[in-house]
Amino acid sequence: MNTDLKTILIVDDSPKDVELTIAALSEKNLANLVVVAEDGVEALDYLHKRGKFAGYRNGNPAVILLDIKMPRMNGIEVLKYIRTDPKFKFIPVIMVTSSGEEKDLVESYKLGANSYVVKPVDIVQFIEAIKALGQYWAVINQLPPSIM
Amino acid sequence: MEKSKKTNELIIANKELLIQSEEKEKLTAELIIADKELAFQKEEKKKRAAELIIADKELAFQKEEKKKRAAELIIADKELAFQNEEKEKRAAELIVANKELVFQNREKERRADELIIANKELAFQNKEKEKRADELIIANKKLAIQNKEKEKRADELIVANKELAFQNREKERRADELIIANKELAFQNEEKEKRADELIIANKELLFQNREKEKRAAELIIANKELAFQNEEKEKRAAELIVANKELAFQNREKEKRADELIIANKELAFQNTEKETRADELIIANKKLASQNKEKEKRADELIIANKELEFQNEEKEKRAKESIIANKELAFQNREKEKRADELSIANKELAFQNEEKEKRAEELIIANKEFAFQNKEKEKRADELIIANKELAFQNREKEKRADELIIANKELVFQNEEKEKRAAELIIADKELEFQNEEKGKRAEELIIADKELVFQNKEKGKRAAELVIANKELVFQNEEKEKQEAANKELEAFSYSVSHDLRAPLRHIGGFVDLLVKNNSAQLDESGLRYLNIISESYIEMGNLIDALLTFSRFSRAELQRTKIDSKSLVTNVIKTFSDEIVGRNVEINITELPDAIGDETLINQVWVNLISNALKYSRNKEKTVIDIGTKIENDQTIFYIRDNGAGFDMKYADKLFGVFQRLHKARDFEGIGIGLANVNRIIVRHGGKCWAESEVDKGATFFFSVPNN
Repeated sequence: MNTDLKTILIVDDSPKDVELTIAALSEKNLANLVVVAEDGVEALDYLHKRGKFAGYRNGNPAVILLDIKMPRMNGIEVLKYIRTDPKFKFIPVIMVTSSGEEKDLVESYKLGANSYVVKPVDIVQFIEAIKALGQYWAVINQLPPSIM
Repeated sequence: MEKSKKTNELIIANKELLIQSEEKEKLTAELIIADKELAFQKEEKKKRAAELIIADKELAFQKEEKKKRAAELIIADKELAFQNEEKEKRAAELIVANKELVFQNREKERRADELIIANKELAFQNKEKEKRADELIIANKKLAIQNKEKEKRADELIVANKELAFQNREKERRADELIIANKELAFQNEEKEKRADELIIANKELLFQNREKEKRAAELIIANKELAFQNEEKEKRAAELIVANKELAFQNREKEKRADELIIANKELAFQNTEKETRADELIIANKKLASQNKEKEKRADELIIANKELEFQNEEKEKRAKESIIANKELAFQNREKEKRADELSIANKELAFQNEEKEKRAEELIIANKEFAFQNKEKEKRADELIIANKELAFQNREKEKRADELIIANKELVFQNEEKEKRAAELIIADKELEFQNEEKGKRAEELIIADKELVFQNKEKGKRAAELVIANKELVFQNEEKEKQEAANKELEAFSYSVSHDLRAPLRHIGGFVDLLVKNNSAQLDESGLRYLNIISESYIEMGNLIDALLTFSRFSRAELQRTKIDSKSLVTNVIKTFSDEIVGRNVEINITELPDAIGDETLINQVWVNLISNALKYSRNKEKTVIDIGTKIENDQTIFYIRDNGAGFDMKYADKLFGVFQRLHKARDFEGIGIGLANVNRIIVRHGGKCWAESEVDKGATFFFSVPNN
């Protein structure tokens, strides 16, 4: 594992959506930074480097793309957990919603989500969301000139 | 070849000629027919001319008819005008009725909400009522028992009434008697008062007597004591006398002995005297002897004195006696000393002594008798004293009793006075009580009648209650059923919403994948596809977008159905103005006139009401975009307690026969080719307004624009 690279954690139970997201990120060569957790429980496993992520040496991810509707532990619950844990509470979280359902977004913002994107994630949305965080350079290692 | 050709041609020509001649024959025949027809036509024309004349006449007639008809039409026109007026009136009434319906609907919705609460309450009340019904059944039974009791009581009351009447009569009698008794009592009281006065006086007297008696008793006690003392003294004295008697007896016996001795001595003296004569000298000697004897006697006398003194000492109280003894002794001594001188006197003295002794014996006997008497008297006196003490005690007791009695009499007297007063009061009260009783009896009679009525009423009420209870049970069941239905409905609604939400989300995932991977295919693999392959991908992409829009619409609709209303006061005018501003891009390049009248504030969820205006204004602009000039009027009218907003356009309009489909989900009245859209906007408008307790409706005519109305309750 390259621990120097800033990691993007994608938390999504749909492999097809993950593939589409990675395809989008690939457009700007950001996909090599991606770690995928298939639901909320795995997301916490990654943050704590346990379970299937035991032995990972990466630090906290630079940003988390967090799907809302997931089995076992949904995005809202993960967000709640992250925001109450002092080790993780400053990690930027972008909620990924399949519908832009207002209720979900309102609750997400209440719980401290930084931004949101609507599925399928495309690179333009993603870059806009990162910009909205005000942490562009903290997340993106290098900016492909075509975006600016 | 040539020939056969020629021959053939000839044969053809021949056949042609034959055909021509047949044609001519036919023509000739036709001409003949035509001639006949002409002749017939001529005749027909003649007939026709005749008919035309008739027709002319008919036309003239028809003209007249038409004139008449025109007149009728004018009348019919007027009638129509009248009917139109009527229709307008009816339309106005209908608008009013509509408003009323709107109001009623709102009331019904409110009522429905209230009914839900009321239902819960009723369910609760029903439980309570069931309890109450059970209680009522018990109470009914109790009442039935009570009624029976009351009936019994009523019967008893009637009996009691009769008894009371009888008692009243008795009381009246008694009252009369009491009046008489009172008078008697008054008289007795007077007597008693007199008697009391007398008693007081008697008492005083008694008191005085008592005091006297007490004094007397005290004196008697003292006297008694004295008597007792005297008795004691007497007893002592008696005892002393007995002792003295005994001594006297002893002395008497001694004296008798002495007397005997003296007799002997006298005899001896006589002898001696006789001897004296003879014996003169002897007498001297004897005298000397006597002198010696006298000395002895003197000694003896001295001894006697001593004995006397002793006696004196012994008989302290018998001083007299002792003195007497002493005197006697002295006398004896003197007698003894005088014996020489009074020898003769001795016999006398002896006799006297004997007499004295007899006297003394008599006296002793008398003393014994006196003593006995004394003892008897003493006993009598003691008895008397005891009796007196008893009598005294009795007197004291009687006095106390009399005092008590006197006190009791005073109290009794007072009590009598008090009782008399009480009796007078009681008599007065009895008279009043009597009247009251009479009144009460009347009242009781009335009450008994009322009770009988009340009883009947109770029976009736019980029946009614039974009916009511039965009705309540039915109503209860109905309510339970309704509640269940409502709960089912609510559950179904929730389930539907959840379903719609889930469908929207879950439908979107595969769709998203179709779109995403088609995009990737186009981006990455377009080189491998020919033109039609690319066109198909394009169609898939468009369908994907369309499907996405439909799902979005469904989601939005679902959201409007779910979202909780946040009611606030809405500044309608500024809201509408702001919404119109958001359509500025659409208006660019169009001739659009939007007229907004003053709009009142409305109460509602601003976000949702905003969406209503967005949809309605968007529609108005969309459906009027083919007009040279778009005219949109936005206005309001307040009716009862609701505000009705309207937006009128001069666009495509719609056929009113489809009006009922207007507000349905995904319902469209125009072709997608003419006007784009998916048919969710008005469904959303309707859903939002209904949720606010309002109503939506529209009026239109094809190609003449449409007016959309919606109402919002003011409270």
